Amino acid sequence: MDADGPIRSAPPAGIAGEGHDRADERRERDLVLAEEQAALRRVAAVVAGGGISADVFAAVTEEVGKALGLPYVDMLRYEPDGTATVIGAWGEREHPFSVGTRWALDGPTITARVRETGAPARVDDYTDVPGAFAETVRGAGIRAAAGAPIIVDAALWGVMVTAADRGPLPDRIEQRLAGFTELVATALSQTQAREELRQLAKEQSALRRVATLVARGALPADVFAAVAGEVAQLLELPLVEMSRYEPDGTATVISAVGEHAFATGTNWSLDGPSLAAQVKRTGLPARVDDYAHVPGSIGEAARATGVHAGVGAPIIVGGDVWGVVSAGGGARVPLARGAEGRLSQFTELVATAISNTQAREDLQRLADEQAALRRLATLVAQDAEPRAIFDAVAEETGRLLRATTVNLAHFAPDGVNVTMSGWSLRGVHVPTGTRIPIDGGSINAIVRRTARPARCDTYEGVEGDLAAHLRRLGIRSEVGAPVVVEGHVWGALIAGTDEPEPLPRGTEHRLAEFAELIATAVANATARSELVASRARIVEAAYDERRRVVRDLHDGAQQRFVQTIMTLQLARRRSDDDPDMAGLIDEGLESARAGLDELRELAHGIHPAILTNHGLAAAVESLADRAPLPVEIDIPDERYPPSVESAAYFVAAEALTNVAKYARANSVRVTAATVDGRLRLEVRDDGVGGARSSSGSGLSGLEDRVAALDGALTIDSPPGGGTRVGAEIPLAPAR
Amino acid sequence: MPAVLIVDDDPEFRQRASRVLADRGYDVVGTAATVAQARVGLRDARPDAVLLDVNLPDGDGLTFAQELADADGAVRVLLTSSDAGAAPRRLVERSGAAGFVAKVDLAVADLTPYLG
Repeated sequence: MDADGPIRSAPPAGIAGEGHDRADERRERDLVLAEEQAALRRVAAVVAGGGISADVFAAVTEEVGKALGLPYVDMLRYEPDGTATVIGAWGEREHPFSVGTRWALDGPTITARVRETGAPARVDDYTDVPGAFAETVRGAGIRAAAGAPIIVDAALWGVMVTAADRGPLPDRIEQRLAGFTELVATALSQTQAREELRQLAKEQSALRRVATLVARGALPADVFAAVAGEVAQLLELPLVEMSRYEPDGTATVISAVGEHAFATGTNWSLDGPSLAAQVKRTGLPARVDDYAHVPGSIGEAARATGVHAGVGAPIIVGGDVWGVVSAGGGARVPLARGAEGRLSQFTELVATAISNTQAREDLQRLADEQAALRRLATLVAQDAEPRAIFDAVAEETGRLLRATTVNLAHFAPDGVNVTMSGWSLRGVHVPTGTRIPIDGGSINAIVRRTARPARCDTYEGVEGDLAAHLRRLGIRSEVGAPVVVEGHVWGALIAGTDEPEPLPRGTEHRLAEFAELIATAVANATARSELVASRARIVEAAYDERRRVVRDLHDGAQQRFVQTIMTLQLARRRSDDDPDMAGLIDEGLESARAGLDELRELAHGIHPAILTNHGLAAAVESLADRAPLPVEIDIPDERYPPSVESAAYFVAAEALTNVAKYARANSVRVTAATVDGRLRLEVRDDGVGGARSSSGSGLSGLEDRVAALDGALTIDSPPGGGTRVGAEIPLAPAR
Repeated sequence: MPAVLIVDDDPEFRQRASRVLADRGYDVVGTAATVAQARVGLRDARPDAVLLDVNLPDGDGLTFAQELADADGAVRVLLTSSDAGAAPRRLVERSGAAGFVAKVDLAVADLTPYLG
């Protein structure tokens, strides 16, 4: 017998050599067939009744042994590492191939051959079969064996072997075995399917439990804890941990289950091909089958802590590999195939929870930001004082961005940085009004130069007075956004922190939205003050024009009249003895005087010289001289801006005219005073009241004139209660 | 005949006023065009009265009248102007001047209460 020879396969049933005793043979064959079918039916019953278990295997091997009439039957399962494990055994005698033993398949034993070919085989003489396994076989007294493959779902699962003390074994033993292995394979297949279904169902339940948590908005920490529990159970791995990838290339453990070195809060460098490193690099699930030779800090720690193998799956948030969930164990059994894929399903849920939480946080932050922007925009729209707006923006921004301090800086044309407003948590902001040259590498300088948001993550070693000043205040890093008004960098809104960590990336862009509000406020204030200045300029120009006309009248026409009159008067004195001459001269004088009077009225109506030369008090006194009733005057002997004096004078003049014409008053009082930077003029009489400011009265024209100076005209005239005309005019144009 | 100093920045008026005052029996002892010149004239010519325009290039007539009243009060001041409304009553009183007569009235009004 040549053990290395070709494997003899049994001839197919029914094509046995036709012998003389065909009828006997047929009968015997029929009997064997019947027995075999009975045995098959019994085995089928056993298998159907109990599924697959050690007991079933034992029962099957016994039935097969009895059916075949051979002293040994074994069932072995092929392992991934090339060994085979005995899962069922029966024998008339003791042998070492008991259930649970595991054998290396060295040498062309039956077990090895079937594994190689996937087909039935026999060895009729074990005498010269090499290998330790074969030796053990011989040692058990076995001389011949046959085996048939157990093929489950088209894959070679194991083998059923039968053996005897001496060969050759009966004919067709292999194919008879095959009949039994088919049954076993079917049962295994069903069991496997049931087992797979059961596992699947378990997994689906676990996923559903976790998904419910996520849907209810549970925090990532809680979701992870649930995942860790489920994964540990499903994959039968005692260690589960979740890590987040940091911007500096390390990973921080944020949650962990089990006793091991990877505790919550620990930070790990991703040197070496650890799970964490692989997952980060590929963004895909990964496995490490043996940490024995994995270099790097994680590998070392894993070995030290008794972790021998593990699987990891990525947590993908917003398209980036945010972190990793790893599960590992210490048993020397290789991890199940597909474990990393199953882990993936759970990490997807963790990713969703993190995403949801981040989205909620983002939404909350967005809402807070929108509310702050709205409050500030309202201030701006209400045309609040620029200072008030600046202070409000500094504070709102500071609180929103969780900065230690916020400053609004204005870049003056002379290259000096002027602090316009500031806010800080602990009184460490640069005081309002501080003037420091813009220099060095401060955020102020950078923003001014680039006209873009910028950040300076540390002021250590930065040159310049401003940087030194900030270091003294304890500010370690800043971000800034430019305030751009009409195309040039008016200043910057700057947020700083005294924490060791700089403000998060993107803070400078959130700051930019607030800087825009400042720019609007500045533009508004500038526009408004320009408008006021422009109006004031127009009023001034008109006023100057009037004064010029009056002066010209005075210097020119009025002087001429005066000279004419004086000359005529002299002539008159010399014509006492000439009545005709005297008469002519008198006529001339009359005309000239009339002309002079008209000219004077005209000049006074445009702008009285006395107002120009002596001010409001004197001019009102002059009005009083000509009034038909006593006028009490209480006006400071002060000069005010010409346009203000002019407007106030004409209000007083018009009011006094009205008093004379309509009020039927006994007395009238004119007062003026400076209150809060405004001239407050009042003309009050004790007459009949009932005056209105509507058109028809000269006062309505004055309303416009007063309004053009940003002032206001009021009339308070209850019937029977006298009249009070008031004008309030700012003394300086609004800045 | 009271001595009068005429102070006005218009030379034509100084001339005419001199004739009018002389006509009316006053002794015009000098003229001045500014407050500064008036001070010199007061020192040198020692007039009894001053005919003073309310608007001078280097000063205000009412203020100068106040100054003269505070100084010795011996010199009488008559304020005048082309503009009849140039000096309100109360301000004239407060300044210590004797009064105000418009230029066009100098030839016809009674000047004795003012100039003597």
